[in-house]
Amino acid sequence: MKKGLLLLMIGLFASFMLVACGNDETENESTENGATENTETNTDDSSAITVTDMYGEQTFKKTPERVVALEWVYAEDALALGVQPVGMADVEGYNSWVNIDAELSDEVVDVGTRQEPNLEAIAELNPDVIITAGYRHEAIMDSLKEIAPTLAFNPYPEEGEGNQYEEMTTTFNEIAKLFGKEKEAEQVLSDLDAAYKSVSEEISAAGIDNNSFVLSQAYSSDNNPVIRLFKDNAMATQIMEKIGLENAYESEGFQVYGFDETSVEALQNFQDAHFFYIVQENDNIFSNQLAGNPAWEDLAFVKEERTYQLPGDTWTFGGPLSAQVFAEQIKEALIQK
Amino acid sequence: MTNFLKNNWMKTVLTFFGGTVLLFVLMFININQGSVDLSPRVVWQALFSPQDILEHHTVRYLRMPRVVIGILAGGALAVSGVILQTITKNPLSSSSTLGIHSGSYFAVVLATIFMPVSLQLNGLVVAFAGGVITALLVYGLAGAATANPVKMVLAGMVVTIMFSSFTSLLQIFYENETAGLFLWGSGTLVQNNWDGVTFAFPFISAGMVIALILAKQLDLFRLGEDVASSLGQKVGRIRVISLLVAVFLTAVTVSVVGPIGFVGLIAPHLIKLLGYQNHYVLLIGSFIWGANVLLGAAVLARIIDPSFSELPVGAVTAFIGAPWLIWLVLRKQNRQYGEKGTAILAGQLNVRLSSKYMMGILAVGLVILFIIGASTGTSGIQLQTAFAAFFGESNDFIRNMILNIRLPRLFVAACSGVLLAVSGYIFQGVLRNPLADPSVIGITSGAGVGALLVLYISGLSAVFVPMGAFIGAVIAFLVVMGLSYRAQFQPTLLALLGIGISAFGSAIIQILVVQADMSVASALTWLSGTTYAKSWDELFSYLLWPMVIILPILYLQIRNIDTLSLGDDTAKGLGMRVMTTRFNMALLASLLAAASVAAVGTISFVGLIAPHVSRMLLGPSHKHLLPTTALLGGFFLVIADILSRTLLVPKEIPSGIIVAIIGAPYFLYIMYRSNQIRK
Repeated sequence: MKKGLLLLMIGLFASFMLVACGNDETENESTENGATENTETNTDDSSAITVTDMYGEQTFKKTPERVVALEWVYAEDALALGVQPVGMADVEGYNSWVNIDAELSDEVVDVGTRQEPNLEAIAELNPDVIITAGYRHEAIMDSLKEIAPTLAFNPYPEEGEGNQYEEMTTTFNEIAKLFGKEKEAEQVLSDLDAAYKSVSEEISAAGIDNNSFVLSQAYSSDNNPVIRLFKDNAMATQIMEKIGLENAYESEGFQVYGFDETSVEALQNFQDAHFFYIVQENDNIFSNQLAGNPAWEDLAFVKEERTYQLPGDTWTFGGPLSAQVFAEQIKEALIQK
Repeated sequence: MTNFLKNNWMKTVLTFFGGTVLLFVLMFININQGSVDLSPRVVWQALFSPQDILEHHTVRYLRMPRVVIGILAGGALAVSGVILQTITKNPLSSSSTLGIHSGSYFAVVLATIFMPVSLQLNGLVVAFAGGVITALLVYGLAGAATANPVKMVLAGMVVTIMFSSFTSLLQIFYENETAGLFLWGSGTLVQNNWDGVTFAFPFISAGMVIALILAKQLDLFRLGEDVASSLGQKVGRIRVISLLVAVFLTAVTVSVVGPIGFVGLIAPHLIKLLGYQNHYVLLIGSFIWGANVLLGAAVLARIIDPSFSELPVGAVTAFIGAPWLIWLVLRKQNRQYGEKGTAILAGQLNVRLSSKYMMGILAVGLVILFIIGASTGTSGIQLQTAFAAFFGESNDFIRNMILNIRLPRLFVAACSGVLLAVSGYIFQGVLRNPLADPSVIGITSGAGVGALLVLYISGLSAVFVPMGAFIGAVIAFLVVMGLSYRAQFQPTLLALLGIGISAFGSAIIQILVVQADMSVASALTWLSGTTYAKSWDELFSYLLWPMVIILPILYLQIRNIDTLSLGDDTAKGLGMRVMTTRFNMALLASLLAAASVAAVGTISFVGLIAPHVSRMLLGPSHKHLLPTTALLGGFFLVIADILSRTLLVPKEIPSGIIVAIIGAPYFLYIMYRSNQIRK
């Protein structure tokens, strides 16, 4: 009896594994469905668009018009190209964090949180394409593809796969290709380069010769200051280097989001730099918790007034328009001191 | 006699002098740990001949406060543990096992979001209020003074699950506001000035002084309330005051360093193991050793992870403390926890009219729920449209939505509910433990560890998470069974071991979550149990085979459960190989639970409550109990699924959280009622 049961269990387990591995079939089926839908509204083959996302190449027969963006940065990319999404995740959050010139239309439908977007709400919008961040939705990729062809990008490249800035421009160009707006994208990126150039000139014209910096984002966690210091692979750091500054922060190890969480103690090693910090107005750890603390007050950049506060909604994880805003904010902070 | 005195003297020296020396050693090690390298000589100078230089400031304003707050917090938690253990007459009491931490923490998170406070004092008031409410809840529900230890700890655990569900609900909806709270949620000693210390010191000293004043009364309390009151003690008043002191000490630490578990359990036992019973000694000794335990954990955390993105010290104490709890349980198994009195009999409803038709009613109800569920979406209930789309007009869009989005979710929810409920029913039967449930036995926590290990260590894609969960669940089950084998799977022991394993698993989960940078958000939603975006794949891959293969086997073997319920001896007399049968049935039940966890993540309470409700409806020994339980389980999760996607459209609420928010209070109510019945 006991042996029989054991055999049965092993058999069950084996069949379970088999079934679990056999998922691929349904997946193929669903993508095929998505593809056939596209052929119905087909134009001639020469206009086929091929876009590469983190899973490989995808072909679109026709320029998609109805776009759902499940991550803010891709909504921003679309807006930069003059495309309004029909739906996006967490509109409220987007409006409070991302402040670019291109306005998000009031008609854009909120489809839920970025982590668990509402599939029904997305389906109801009948999108031609869904654009999302792969790391959030790997597990539901099949369901998304059943609704519409889905492009997944990875805004946070792993070690050795390039930095976040390169990734941002690559993805921006892919999205531009999708909408047939390569020219516009070129324009946006060259505007961006021009902006970097003029910002960089203004900085040197203002007579700031020390170009080393540390960029941080800080908040309190139960009254204890937590300081994020941005590493070289972060987009924000890359932008600052593009306007002629140099990151002084060095630390061991790779961090995929591009920052280490640390305390005020670590700042001692970078006292010669300019210290930039992003804090929320009502949670300014430097004027609340650390004011008067000698371990902060005695840092060279504090004594010599080389600290610069950036606005709380400074968005360091955005697309080209956010990048330009960020570069301007750095300049303002540095020069107006 | 001289030998005894000598031993006693040695012991005292070791406890107090040795403890203090160790404390100084740990202090010095901890002061030397940090993100800037400072030589021990610089540290020494900074302490004893400070100059106005940055290195010295670092030591004096960053590292010293961290060490001192560690000592204060560890000591306070240990003292609070001593008091709680005495007044509840429960060796397993501590602010973490009684749920006080989770209550205080929830209160603080709530306050952070809805009324942001910058004054630390407000945080303390909020934490204290949350702690007191939780303590009263657990204490009252477990049957106040008559409560048996196991029951109290179980109530504490259920309350903990409940408050953590509330907390994760807030964290899901206020991702940005609570981003900084996660690390703190597992306790951290990081200080950036002396504020925390100057804030906590007077409160902790005051608490300590009151505790010492109470020491004499607490000594009498140990003798039993009757003795104490016959000696002229005002037992009730002392109990309330001591409880308040204990909660207050916990609240102070929560509001300064966050919830840190298990220090309050370990430290008092270290002192008790040495044979001390006098409360003066217990309180002071525990303070010293509590400080040692916490500082030791802090030192360890920084050795494991020297970078500053630091391991939460609370997770480390739980990591050390949970095995300790298990050891404690195993050691005391036969003396402390008799089999009696842990039973929670739900009793029976007076309305038994329908019991004959119960299954029919439930089945019809389930069908109706399916129809409602299938036609309910982001734009509310659209019965007619859905009906028309499905049977008449060719509204492909709605039909697709129903077929590919709503129905698979409903089926996955229903099947998971059935599996969990049956699993709970079998566990409760074979272990003769009315509190048994896949999550109480630690299976779900094991699944969580398995899932995160797949994500974090193996680097496999999220698609393999369910596989990891399944394997983790089975391993956790085997561990619990292995540990309780010698005690013949004694029910109460099993429940306590399950709690220990769960806590250990949660500690590992916390450590992994803090260590892993990617996929944390998705792992967290998965852990909270969700029917979100489930497709036919989940149904066919994970749920169908246990439904088709294991359920029938169990149904055929159901007589075994009835036989087991007669008691081991009778069962043996009837020719049953009790241990083998018990193990086999439990293994099948754990496979059911594991399959469900693989599909929908960790959903607690369904397995616990469905059997109780069905017993309440049908009576305790009805032949249709198993199928009714199964239907009820499906019923509950389907409701949870419908609510999870409609309550806050377009946002989703993980169904596991809905089940916990509804299920935990209901469970506490059952507990409360069972007290009323016994009285």
